[in-house]
Amino acid sequence: MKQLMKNTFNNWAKVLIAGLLLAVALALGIPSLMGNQFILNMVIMILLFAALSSSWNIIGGMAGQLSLGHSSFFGIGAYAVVLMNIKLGVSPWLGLVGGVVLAVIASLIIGFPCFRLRGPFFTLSTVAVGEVMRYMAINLTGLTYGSVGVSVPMEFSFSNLLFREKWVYLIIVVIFLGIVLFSVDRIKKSKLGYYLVAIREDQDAAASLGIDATKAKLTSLAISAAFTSLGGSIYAQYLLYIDPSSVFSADISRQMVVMAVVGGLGTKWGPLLGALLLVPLDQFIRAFFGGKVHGLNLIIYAVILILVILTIPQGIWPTIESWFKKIDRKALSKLPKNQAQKPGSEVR
Amino acid sequence: MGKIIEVVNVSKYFGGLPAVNNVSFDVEEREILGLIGPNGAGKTTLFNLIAGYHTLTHGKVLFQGKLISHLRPNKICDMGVARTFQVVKPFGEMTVEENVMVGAFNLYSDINTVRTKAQEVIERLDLTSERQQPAKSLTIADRKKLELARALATEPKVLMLDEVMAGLRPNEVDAFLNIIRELQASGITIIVVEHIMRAIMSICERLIVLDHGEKIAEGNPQEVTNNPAVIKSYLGKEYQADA
Repeated sequence: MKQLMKNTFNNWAKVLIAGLLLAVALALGIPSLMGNQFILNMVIMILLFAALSSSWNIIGGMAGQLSLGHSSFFGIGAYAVVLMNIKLGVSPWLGLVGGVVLAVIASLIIGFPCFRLRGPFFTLSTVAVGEVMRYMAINLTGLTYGSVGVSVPMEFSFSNLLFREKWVYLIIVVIFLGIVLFSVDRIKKSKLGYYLVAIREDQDAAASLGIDATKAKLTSLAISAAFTSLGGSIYAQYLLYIDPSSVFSADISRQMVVMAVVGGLGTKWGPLLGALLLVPLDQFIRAFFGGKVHGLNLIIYAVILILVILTIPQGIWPTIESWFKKIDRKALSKLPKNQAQKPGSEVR
Repeated sequence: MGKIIEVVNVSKYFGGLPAVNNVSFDVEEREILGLIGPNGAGKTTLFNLIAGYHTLTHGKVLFQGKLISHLRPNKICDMGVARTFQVVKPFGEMTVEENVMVGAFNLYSDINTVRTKAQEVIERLDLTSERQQPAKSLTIADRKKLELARALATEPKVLMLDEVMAGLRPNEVDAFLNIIRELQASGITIIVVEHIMRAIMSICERLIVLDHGEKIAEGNPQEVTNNPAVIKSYLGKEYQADA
């Protein structure tokens, strides 16, 4: 029975992924035909934010530890790759690694004291750290050039991780998203994944089963921070210019959270769905309403969010999942009973 | 057979209130020890002290001769002391199988091994037909079984059961008693807190009675239930009349 359900569901998932790939292929094709940089840019942003939101989901969704300061790790990745290149002449490829190392160190510094406590301490700390990082980036002008920002030196080459053609970045973000989703999948099917859900559900019960909650949460935060930093680095190399108010903004943190919440907290495909919906929506309402009444785009965005949270609080992906399960159950009820209930057929 | 757990002069004060006051006892390997007493006598607090959920005010707890008080609960579980909770704490969003798998991950890392181990425990506790159900959809009896299954999946040497039979129907209690006897036969030491005297009398080899945080009696079930102090504080005169 379960087998059948799984198969049908997996088939649907495959259809969905295929549809997605098709959309990407179209987006690839259309700009090359029409030179539509707008759509290409949007697709890159969708996939980049899907990857970022999935990274956030590892700690925020799977472990249930609400971080509102992931812009810290994003900004660290962005600044690390650019500054190491400019100041030390380090190749951006190594800069990626440097950003990851710094982000992981930062995550451990934030997580170690907070995860030993229960309650809102972690969330509050992430908000504070996010703000502190932004002010540091503004004020440490010797290191970061302050609020003027930094431009990436325009030397296009593979070794500089800098490309004149924008579609190369599309390939990069597709690979990045693939790596993040693959990792999420592996984590979900591993000891760590099970432990994180157990901790989210009941930390006392988790401890009674030998789970070191602090360690599991720290590990997932470090993984999440590492991927977020990579996303920041790619963002910097793509936009060729960064400043504190863009890469360390609370808005970056906010987007990662909201996409995962709308798509489905703790799910593999949720953040991707969230990004597919919200990035275009954001751009659309910004383009249509942003110029007319100041702040109207934010109000509309907020109203849509509230509607989603009120109607499907568990997110879009779990809702779709339960629809498919209903369809499967209907299909099952048409099967002869003895076949549907044979216990042996359930073993995977 | 030696002592597997030694509780030595253990006290726990909440503010100025002694919840457990200078309690000492040993648990012999492979025995079933019953812990009884009126509500608020400190039974659950004593469990929490042994399992590391509360820090001791005084005294110490040894497991196989090693000091375990002041260790964190997860370390104590790693050493081989598992517990269930009186108020069951299933991982509601997970299925029964996944719940048990979380316990099995304590010793094994490979997911297929873990799934096999979990299935063994699930079959042992007769939860097979509920295997794929989310834990939050279970009946109270099955939740209690799941609580036990999860603890069992960590492959403990000592299992502490906090009122796993409370609120169950008599036939469900009998099923539980059989399971507990089987567990003992497989070599696990068991400490039970329970109010159902029928259950206690039929499985426990030794009883310890707590009242107001103090140990007031210890011995085999017959001795203890005839002890005037126990009858006065816990069992009541009617119990003596019945017996």
